[in-house]
Amino acid sequence: MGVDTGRYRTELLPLRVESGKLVTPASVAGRIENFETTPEGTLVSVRGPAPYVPDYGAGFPAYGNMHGVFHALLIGGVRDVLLVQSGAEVWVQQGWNQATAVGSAGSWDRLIGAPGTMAQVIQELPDHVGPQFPCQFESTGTGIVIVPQGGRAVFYDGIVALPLGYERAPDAPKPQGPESSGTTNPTVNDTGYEVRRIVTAGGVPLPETFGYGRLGTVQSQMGGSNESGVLRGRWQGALQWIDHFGNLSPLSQRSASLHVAQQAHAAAADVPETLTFEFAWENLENGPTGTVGKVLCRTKDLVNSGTSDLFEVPPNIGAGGLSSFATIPDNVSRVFPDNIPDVWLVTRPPEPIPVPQFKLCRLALGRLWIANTRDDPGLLIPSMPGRWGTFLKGTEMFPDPQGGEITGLWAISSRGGGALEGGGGLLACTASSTFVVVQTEAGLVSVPLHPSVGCAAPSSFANMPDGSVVWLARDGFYRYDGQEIAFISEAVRPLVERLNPGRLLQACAAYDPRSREYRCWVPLDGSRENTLCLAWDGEGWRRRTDVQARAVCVTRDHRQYMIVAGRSTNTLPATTDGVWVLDREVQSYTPQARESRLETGWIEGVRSMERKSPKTLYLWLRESDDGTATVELFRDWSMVAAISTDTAQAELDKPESGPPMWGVTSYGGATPPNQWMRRRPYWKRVHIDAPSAEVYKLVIRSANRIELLGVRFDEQPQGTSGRVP
Amino acid sequence: MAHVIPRHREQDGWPIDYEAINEDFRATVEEMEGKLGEHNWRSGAITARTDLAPDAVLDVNFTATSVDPDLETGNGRPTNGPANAFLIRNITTWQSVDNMSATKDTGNSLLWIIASFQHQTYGTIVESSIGAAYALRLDGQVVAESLIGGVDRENDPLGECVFAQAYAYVTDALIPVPPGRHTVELVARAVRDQNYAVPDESAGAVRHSEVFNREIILVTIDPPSADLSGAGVSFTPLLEGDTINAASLNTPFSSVASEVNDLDPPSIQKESLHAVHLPSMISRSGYTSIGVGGAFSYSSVINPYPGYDSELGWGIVQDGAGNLLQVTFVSLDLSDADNRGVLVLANVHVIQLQGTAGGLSVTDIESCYAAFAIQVRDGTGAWFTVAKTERYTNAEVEDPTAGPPGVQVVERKNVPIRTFVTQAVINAAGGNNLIQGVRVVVSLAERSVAATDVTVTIEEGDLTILGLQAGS
Repeated sequence: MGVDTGRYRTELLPLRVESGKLVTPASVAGRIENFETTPEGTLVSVRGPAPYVPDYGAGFPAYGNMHGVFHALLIGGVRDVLLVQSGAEVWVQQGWNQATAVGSAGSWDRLIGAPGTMAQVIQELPDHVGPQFPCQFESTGTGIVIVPQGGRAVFYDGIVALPLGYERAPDAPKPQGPESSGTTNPTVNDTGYEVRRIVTAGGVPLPETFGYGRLGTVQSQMGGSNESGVLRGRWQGALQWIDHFGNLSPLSQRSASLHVAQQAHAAAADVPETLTFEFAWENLENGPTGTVGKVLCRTKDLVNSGTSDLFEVPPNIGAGGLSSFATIPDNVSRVFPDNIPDVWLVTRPPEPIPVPQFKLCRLALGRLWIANTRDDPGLLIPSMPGRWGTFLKGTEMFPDPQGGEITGLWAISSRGGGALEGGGGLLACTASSTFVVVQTEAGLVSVPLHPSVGCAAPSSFANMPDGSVVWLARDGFYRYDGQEIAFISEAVRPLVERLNPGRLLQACAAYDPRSREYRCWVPLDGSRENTLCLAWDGEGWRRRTDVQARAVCVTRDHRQYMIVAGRSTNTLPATTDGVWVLDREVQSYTPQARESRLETGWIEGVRSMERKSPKTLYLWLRESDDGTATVELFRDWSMVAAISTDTAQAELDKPESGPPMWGVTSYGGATPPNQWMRRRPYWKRVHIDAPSAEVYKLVIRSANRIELLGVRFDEQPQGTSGRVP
Repeated sequence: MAHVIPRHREQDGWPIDYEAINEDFRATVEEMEGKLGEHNWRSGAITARTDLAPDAVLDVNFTATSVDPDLETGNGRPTNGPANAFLIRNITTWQSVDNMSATKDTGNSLLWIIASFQHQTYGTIVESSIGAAYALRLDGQVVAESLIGGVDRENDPLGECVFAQAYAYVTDALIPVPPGRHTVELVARAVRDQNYAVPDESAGAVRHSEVFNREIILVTIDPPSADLSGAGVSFTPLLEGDTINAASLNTPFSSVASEVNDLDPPSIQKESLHAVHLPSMISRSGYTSIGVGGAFSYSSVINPYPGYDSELGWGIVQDGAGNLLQVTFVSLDLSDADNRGVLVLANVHVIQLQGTAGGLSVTDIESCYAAFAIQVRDGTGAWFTVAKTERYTNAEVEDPTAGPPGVQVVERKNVPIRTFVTQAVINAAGGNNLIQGVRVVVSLAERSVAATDVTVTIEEGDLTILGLQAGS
């Protein structure tokens, strides 16, 4: 404290963060609303937002209820993809398409939509406005996984959009092979699909050029004779699809068995291979749209090989051999002549499960993790590495042994020590507990991280620049730095307790690189919408009300725009819902005036026994507007009525020496101010008076732009005038 | 890259903030220094094809060899080993077909490789004859999907090679390639005989297959752009103390405006302009098909093979209802640098090719030939045969070693022809620099007196022409 003619003058109070505590240091504000920090270190009124897609002549795009927004760069960074879920559709932005029809989607093109919408993927999505997670997105580098809530996940690579993986298996193939009209030579293997070198009357002889049939287990001596022949054998087949993105379908059920009867040569001199067969497989069902190949799988001879496993059948005629991506590299052929001998079967096919409908996904440990399936909310399933829509049987896990619903997934990296020693992991949260999935020598395992802190909103996760992770739990915000989980919203607990717990799951957040703030939109005071944004800069909290975000993202390009899908408050009704760029403004769109409000805490609560009389407020401002701010003074813990209200003294510019103003300055003038000048900081004194107050609070508010560096007070101490009952 | 939205919207009553003005200008300038992407260009932003450099999107390279098979003389089959024919060695390793390769320096490009050629069995088919397999090879790697035939006969006894006396083939492939120099070739190989014996490659051994007329066309999609440079935006930010006057305000505005109105290549992000922004590189296009559900026959009496590289005597392939396998279009000046040439893709489906006399021997049957060719129409309206496109096929029997009489098969052959017609090609054919039509013609060669007359029945055909603006 300094001393000046008997009055105290407080130190400079920067007021950059707020606290809801009753008693706080004077340097901490009681409320900072619609302000953001600047690189110059000031606190300035929030500006914007600006519509991402402008009005090209017939109004803004006709948005529905907004459910999600996501940005990614695809195809080596060439394709700049912005996706939104608007109503029951997912749109992709096409800046080149400036549709001007009234009620059109503007420059948005439908990616997922109902029948009749010409969308790439036809799917009836729910347009549910009740409590639900926002539409989830995840970028894999090669594409984007889109997870509409209540819908089927879709993968989009910037050009092609397809349902993620397969939700069902193909039909079982139908085998074709020899049948027997009798039980002994020569009436065995003599009918049906009899294709081999030596056939009976109804068979198809293989020409010598062809070689031999390769299927059938041969034996050089059969029984007591010296005759060679084929042993009794049995084979089964199965089919698997592969799609444009390399995802595999579940294996079909095994086919009916194909039987070959034991058969000896009529002539002992014949080599046994003349009796072996070629088979064929029919009913190879064509896959759904996006299927590019079929993998035929077959057992070895079930009777004689000693294994009943299925193996991938290599493709025909050596075009690729074992390295080929499919047995049949098309989605047309329904028949496959099979002369692949058992010994050529070496690769066991992966056994995926049908892709379930799920709510959450995240890329971690080289896999896509999906969770919270429709049938099992506590289930977590990793994909095959690189095949983001292929989930193998037997890899499912329940991070919470009690099967609690998974409410949040986030990829984390190692910051040394702890559960992540030596690598990254996946945070998997239920509503009341947190686990981390890590890769160990024993495989992927789930390790409990916290028994009582969970996640309330899957879209509230964000990475901070120091590598830590921040998210919203039921009782506030937590931060995990690789070592421990810490509670970071103690200062705003009174505010957090006003959040609508029934709608917390719809909260959304992102880290803004420019302001270096974590921003999370939450529903306040029973609201259905995320009406309040809480911003955390690593030191403390602020709040803003410029938009009601249903979803938020930061563009992953050099622009690093923070984009919100939701509602711009205080704007014209026709443009309420939409896609907004925060902290930016355009001439073609004017948000309605919005008040910026800064409240000090109760000064000085810890000295409330000692009465004091604030006399002068010093505002350290930077020129920002030719208007004024309103300054209100409250006292003694009461916000019922201001002791004083001043709307004239707090001028937001310094006319005697400031830069010229827009609207009044003519360029080319011969006299000052006729030069470009930097907006300068200045002090402004405001007379206030709250005689013998226990505590006092100052409110500075204005719809004009305010840029503040700090405040100071002159205060007359009242000695021992405090009365204690 | 994407839409840029300024941070500041200065308004009346605010201090004039030159730093805000600079920041807003800077955001725009930064985009123009190489980040202008697909969203920054309106659909159809460039409407005139000729506003683009000829090689902006495509390069077309081709090489062709013309071989006269001496089809019209009566020795029962084309001449063995005529000039420029390529004889396939009796080895089972791949060998490059002469004059069927092209080397190209590319960027991250897509290559469309098209090989069109005439296969001919050398000599008469006998029991020891073997066929040939063909494929495209890119940088030494055979493109498996382009194989005509296969690499072995594991599952398909007829799959390893093609085995016909006279047959026209086309194989093509679309292959993305990384930046660098790439060589594409048509390669061929002999196969083992029916007893799986290695063919005889000793001196004096009979060769079995040869390649006559042939052409390889290489279309490079998105060829490497020239290393063009540009000065970029000359942006001078406002400085504190500068006078607020027209000059200081105009400087940033005019620098941005100048750059917008005269963007240099480095301003535009690679691959940002695509189909929605650019005009088609196809200056002329046409397609026709005939004969679906019908058939039409030709006779060697009416359309005898006129001799190699001749205009006379050919019949226009048609369906009998007056529909010709012919496309005409507004004339295209092939001497114009913007018009690289016309890509022609034709297919004719032959049902039956036969001699009219009964009881023919195998030799007589196999001496019935149908020839096809592409003719182009120049600016005068005259039609000229493009010799390099002549293809032919002959009648076949079920078993060449059986008979007489030979049992003739129903052919059901596709005769594909692909060619690229440039100014030099049409001039060599006898036309002027203009092209205004393309058609497919047919004639019959009767190489056995016993056949008395040769007829061919054509069921279907299609013809596509694409006039391309391209570099070379």
